[in-house]
Amino acid sequence: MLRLDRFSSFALCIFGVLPMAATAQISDSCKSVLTGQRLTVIVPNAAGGGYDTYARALSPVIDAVAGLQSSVVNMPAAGGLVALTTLADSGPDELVVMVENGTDVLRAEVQDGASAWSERVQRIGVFHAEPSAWVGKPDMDFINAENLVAASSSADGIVEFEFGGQAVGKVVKLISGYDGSKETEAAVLRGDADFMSGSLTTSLKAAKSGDLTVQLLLSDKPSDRAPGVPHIAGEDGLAAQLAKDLSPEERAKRIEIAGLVVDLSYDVRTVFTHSTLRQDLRECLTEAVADAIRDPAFAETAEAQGRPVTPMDPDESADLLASQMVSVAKLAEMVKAQ
Amino acid sequence: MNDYLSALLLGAGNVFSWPNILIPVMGTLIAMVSAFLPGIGGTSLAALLLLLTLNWEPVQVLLLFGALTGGATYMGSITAILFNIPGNASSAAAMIDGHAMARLGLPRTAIAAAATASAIGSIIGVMVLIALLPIVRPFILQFGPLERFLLGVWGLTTIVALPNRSASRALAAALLGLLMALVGSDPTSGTPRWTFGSLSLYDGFDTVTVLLGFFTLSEVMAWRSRVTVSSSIAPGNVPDSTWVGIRAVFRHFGVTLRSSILGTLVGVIPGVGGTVASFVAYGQTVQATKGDRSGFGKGDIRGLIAPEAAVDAKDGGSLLPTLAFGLPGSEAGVILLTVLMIHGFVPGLPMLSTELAFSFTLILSLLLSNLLTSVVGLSLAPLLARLTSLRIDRIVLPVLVASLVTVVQLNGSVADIYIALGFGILGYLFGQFDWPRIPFVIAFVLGGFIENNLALVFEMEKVGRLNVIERPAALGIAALILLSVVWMTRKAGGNTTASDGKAKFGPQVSALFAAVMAGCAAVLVVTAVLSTRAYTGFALAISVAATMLCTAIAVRMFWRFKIGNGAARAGGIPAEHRLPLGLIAILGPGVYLFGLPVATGVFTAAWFCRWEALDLKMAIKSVVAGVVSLGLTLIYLDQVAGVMLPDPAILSFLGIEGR
Repeated sequence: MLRLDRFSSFALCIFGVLPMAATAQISDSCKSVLTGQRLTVIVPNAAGGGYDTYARALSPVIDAVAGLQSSVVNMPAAGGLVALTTLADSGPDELVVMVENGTDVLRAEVQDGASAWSERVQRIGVFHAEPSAWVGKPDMDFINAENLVAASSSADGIVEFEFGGQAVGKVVKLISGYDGSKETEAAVLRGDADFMSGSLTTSLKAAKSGDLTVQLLLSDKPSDRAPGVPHIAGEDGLAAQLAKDLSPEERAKRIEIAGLVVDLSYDVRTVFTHSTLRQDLRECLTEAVADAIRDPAFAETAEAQGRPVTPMDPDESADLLASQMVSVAKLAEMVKAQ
Repeated sequence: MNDYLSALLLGAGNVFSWPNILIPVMGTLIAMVSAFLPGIGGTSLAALLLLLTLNWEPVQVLLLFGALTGGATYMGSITAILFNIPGNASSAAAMIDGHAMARLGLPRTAIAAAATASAIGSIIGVMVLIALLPIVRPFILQFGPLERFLLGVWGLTTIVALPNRSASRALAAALLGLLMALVGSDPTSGTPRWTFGSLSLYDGFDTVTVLLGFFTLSEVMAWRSRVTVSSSIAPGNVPDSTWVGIRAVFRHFGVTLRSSILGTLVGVIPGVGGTVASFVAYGQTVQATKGDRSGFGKGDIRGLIAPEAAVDAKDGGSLLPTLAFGLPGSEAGVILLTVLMIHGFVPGLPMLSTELAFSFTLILSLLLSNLLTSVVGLSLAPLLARLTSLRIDRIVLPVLVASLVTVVQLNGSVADIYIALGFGILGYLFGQFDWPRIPFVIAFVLGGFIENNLALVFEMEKVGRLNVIERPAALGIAALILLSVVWMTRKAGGNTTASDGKAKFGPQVSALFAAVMAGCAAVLVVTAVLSTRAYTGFALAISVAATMLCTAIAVRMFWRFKIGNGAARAGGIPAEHRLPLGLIAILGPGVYLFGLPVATGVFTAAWFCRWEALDLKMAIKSVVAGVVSLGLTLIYLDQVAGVMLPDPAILSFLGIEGR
């Protein structure tokens, strides 16, 4: 765990590179509440990854918008569970946020219902959401293959792969235990497995050299960022196309499963805070985060590093969360029934 | 070929032209300073610099990040040599003989040898890298989980080569090391294993935390009985000089060359890293040594040259998968990959063809950085070596505080302090009971790596993706293992000892220690058997074997005591160790109850106080030392490292709201 607050401020002054002048400013009442306070930005991954990049790009912008003194803390232990617990257990006066994939928090809730994460932490901003994708070698015949092997770092991936496979009428087996996404990518390159899953951004990066290609979008519509790549869900999705000769019930079932898989795998880049935070602080922090994630300075810094920023408004993110919660619960029931 | 040479020359021009050359020099210095300062990790520093260099020219960025990749490696070894504090996991192997040399009064020789070996290793690594660049892609794809598992096993066979007073204790120590490496989570299912409900153990014991405890803290206990780290006179009146250290590397050039090539090849394999490279090189050097090998573990300079050459050579090798496939071999590699992508470089074929000049820029910047660190290391060797002749009570505070702060900031978990203290006491007891510590450490460092890859091998086999016959690299490594074991077993008879010291206790107390070890292992066996969670056969087998062997050792020692009619030497903890041992033992509860800064302050005050000559002046001096320690720790944790520590438990006992 590391906060580079003083050090990074010093370095930023010396180098003077970052566009620090935030255009947005929060209300005066909130500014008086927050100015000079310390904010801890938790990242549940090691330094250097995608979410760490977002957190380090967001931190100075929040400071500029709200007068906070923020610092980024990496807490990768226990697959991010330590970070989540630290956030949830923070005191009412402690300004702490976490930058994490909102879907992962939902999954943690399903796996560990006793912890009731959705009650203990709150989403206060979504700055980007995108589908995941399946990536394999260019010579892989995804459409015609019946049996496939997926590679993943975690055994949790089995739900996405197994049900994703069911949706397109394929049997998918899993090799899990690779050390991170790059190791998983290496496994696909070596031929240990046929494909892997990742967010669309990560998948496109993996495919940039031409050694791998994006084979399937876990989405209900095509994406301009991946032209020509089939999507799994929806009436015109691959699941529906491959099930066209099946009975209407079976076809409907496959389409439904494809939709659930899309929700389960959606990458929702979210800022969380803890539910115990004092109400006035929470309201002002929410305002500050909302302004910061819309600030061009944040988008410029993140996008310069290949990390897209498309902030969602609160209603849109609430709808997405509701849909995801229903899907994750349904999938959990289906897993239990198997 | 002409294109290849032109690209090489273009890359060299990028690095060695004015003012470009200032960038790698600056990067190297930044990396060296950050590696020396606890609180600023190399990866976090690189992440920060990544942001700061977004608007730089691509060539300038390559120069900076090439230097950052190479700059930090050697510095970790300096603290390992001088104070037995591993700057990073890969410097653990250098501690074994490096610190032993410092204790023998040869710190300057050790630092110079390490610096020279690093430089040579780096040059060889880069030469191999440049030679392999055009043909490397098929080679990299040969190394999957099976090959990496076998490579780990090859490293483990080092234990057979190490001379030990007792083969059974060495094996037991290795099994206990493996067992500790298995605490955490099952590698395939992620199910917690032997964590006893503690979240802090889900990722297992952190390697650097364990090494800091097992070597550094256990060492601190023994330090109080000495005036300085180094003995004043080196054995056999060997002069302690930079020149001797430099010459040793060339005198043992075979060791340097073999270790460098080995390090490069290990570096080429994605996901293996410096720790495995250093231990494999160390083991290979011990195995290949003709004649007396009893000096290894006690300050044999070859035991320092080998891992140092391998680790720096590995830096070059590890660039290959990053450039050829975009597969980073380390956390630093992840940042480097991000840097490449941001600035428009596409890892893969383009980096080996159209962008070749840029690849060479990166590689040569790394080489320059590695050479610069070695030059700085050599220049500073006399100054750094003097640290070991300072009065121990002047350096114990920074060593201790640095160790504790490092431990906390590694993963941001205060629980790591308890883990380090626990392993500190275990390391101390290993020394007192003459259980070899090196097999324990080698097995611990390699255990997780071996099990993770073994688990993947089984997974691949389960889904029909493993055909051993079609894996020539695996067959080659298996043959090497077989040859090594046969060779070492045949030569093992000539070995004397590399145990840390003679047992300070009689067999009855030693039997009790072995019984306690057996008892602890047995608790893990029972937990595994009774648990509904999935414990792999590998984990179960290791825990059962450790229990059985420790039990056998306990029984044998008890039997010896019995036939000796209880006449054996009773022994005991040396009087001068009792206070530090007691302090270390209560430091854990102290940190829990009163927080790290207060506990460190009290510890320092108690350490400074000479209880046998306690007067007002001494008491004031101790209190001042304690307060300074408390203040420094507090300021450092809060303002520099910015570690989020939990509130002291005493506050909640007293009903006071923290923070």
